[in-house]
Amino acid sequence: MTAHLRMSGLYWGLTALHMLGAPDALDREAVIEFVLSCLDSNGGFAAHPKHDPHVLYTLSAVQILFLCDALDRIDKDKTASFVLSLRREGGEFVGDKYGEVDTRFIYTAIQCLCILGKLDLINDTVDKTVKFLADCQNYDGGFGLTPGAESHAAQIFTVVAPLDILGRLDSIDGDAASHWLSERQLPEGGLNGRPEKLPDVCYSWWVLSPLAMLGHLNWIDGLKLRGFILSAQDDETGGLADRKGDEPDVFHTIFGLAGLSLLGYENLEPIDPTFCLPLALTKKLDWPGKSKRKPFST
Amino acid sequence: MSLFWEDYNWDDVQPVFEDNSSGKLAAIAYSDEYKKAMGYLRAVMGAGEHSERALALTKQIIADNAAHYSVWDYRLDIVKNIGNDVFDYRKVGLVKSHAPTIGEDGEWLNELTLDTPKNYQIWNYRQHLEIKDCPEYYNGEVVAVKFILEDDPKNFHAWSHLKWTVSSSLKNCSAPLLLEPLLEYTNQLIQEDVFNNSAWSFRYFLYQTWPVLKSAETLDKEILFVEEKIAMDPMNESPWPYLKAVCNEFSPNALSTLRSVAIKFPDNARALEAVAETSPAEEQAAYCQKLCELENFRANYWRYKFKC
Repeated sequence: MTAHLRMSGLYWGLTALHMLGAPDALDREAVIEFVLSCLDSNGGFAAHPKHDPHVLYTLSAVQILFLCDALDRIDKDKTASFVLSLRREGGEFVGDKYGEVDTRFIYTAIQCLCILGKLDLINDTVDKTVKFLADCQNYDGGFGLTPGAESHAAQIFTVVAPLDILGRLDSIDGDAASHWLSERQLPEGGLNGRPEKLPDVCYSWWVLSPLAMLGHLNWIDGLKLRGFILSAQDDETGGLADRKGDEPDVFHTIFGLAGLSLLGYENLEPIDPTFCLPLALTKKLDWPGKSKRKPFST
Repeated sequence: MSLFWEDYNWDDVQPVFEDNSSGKLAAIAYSDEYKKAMGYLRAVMGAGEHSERALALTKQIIADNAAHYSVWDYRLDIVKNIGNDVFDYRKVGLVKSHAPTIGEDGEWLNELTLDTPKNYQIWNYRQHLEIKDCPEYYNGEVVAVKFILEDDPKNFHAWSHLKWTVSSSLKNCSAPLLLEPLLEYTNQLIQEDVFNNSAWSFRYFLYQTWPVLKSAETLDKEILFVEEKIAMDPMNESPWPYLKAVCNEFSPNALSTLRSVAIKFPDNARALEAVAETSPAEEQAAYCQKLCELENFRANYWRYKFKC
């Protein structure tokens, strides 16, 4: 029953292949054709043909088309207006017509508009959006899905990345967030998502990428983390699992590779911590925070 | 009303099947049963049908794939239109209420919540069933959350839902939820597991919502409560930021209150950090050195923080 995330699965796989230096491993035309078959008449994309469009899959679709240099195959204005239709008065975004408001959808919408070159469409509410994101910072320095919700590493990514795109990282306490993130490293090297939880390879991305954006990637021990990530690689298939001995899957593979890429290991193509796309490609994009970026390397 | 979807008559419906022929890039192996149900779902969803049989059908799809967000949207549409005719609305949540509301199969919903507590849709759906100014709705949601947390005391969705329930009841209900029982609940959970960060986070949320710590007496009791919990394991990550936040937010002498607790736990990185933070700048370098020895893998952080 994976149809509901098929589009994201394709984005994860394709981005992983880019990092591994094999961007052409999938048939480009077949990839584009699948993405276009999920396009709804309202400009949004579904996870699978004939499903309802959703902002998560719209971002994945736009990312895939960007990776394939095929954004000219869609009506960008229409897709941007689908994303805008999910905006609420307070500058927050929902995922679909009944959806909940949370930071995941703000991140998704803002990155989507950024890749489409249509960020200026939210100029009138951007201050409110920034305030909502900043209000999600908790007493411990971390961020939750909504104001007051418990801190979680993945939610820090979904707050820091849109603020980085908007050039508004100065609206949060970045050092406090980075400290909370650095506490995610356990003595054996792996990272967890919340205090007292088990380490998981996917947090290599959710923890490292905001640390990179905030300029504190060196607050974790990269070599120890590398050891943890590599121990989760499956000997037979080569994929990565959540931790040693478990079944590998594309989700943990992309985010484990992306973590290694940020740390500069294994000769992987450099990944952009804000977009989770190859740095070589995001250079072509333009966004308000681009000139304010801090150096990522450890 | 607990008929299986296939017990209804579907003779008048032409199911819509997908072309999922082999060779496609993203072909998926579905069970025949699921494919069949999806065929009928596409047909009735496309026609915007609001009926008992469509409700039964959405249950089947949700049972197979609770993350299918469109089917939840469709179910909500039906329930808003005909829910009251089909279900006893008083069974939403786990309690009976007498306020006019949206009929939903509360028992089914609660069982499903217990089975798939990490599903985003289900919690969002429960919030769409909100009955404003109905204390039983909010109490019912608290009971439902407690059931989930009994199985999984750190379930992120359940905790977020509890915070939403508290805030919504204060905003929308003339007899809202009360602080004391909720606070007592966090006492109980922290007592059971002092490392339960979710419970600590919720406790802080309660004090932000009800600023009772502005009273010096209550504040002293709270500081003592935290100190006792720290003593159970001074390396526990949860109580330290909690203590700092309580001091900063409510204590007129934040630094000295924090320091008075921290100095009781020597040779411990978390306490030492708090002692260093509350020391004059010229003494911090020595503490930084000690911290780097205690937790070498965080040395870059200590050096940045204490500028040494």
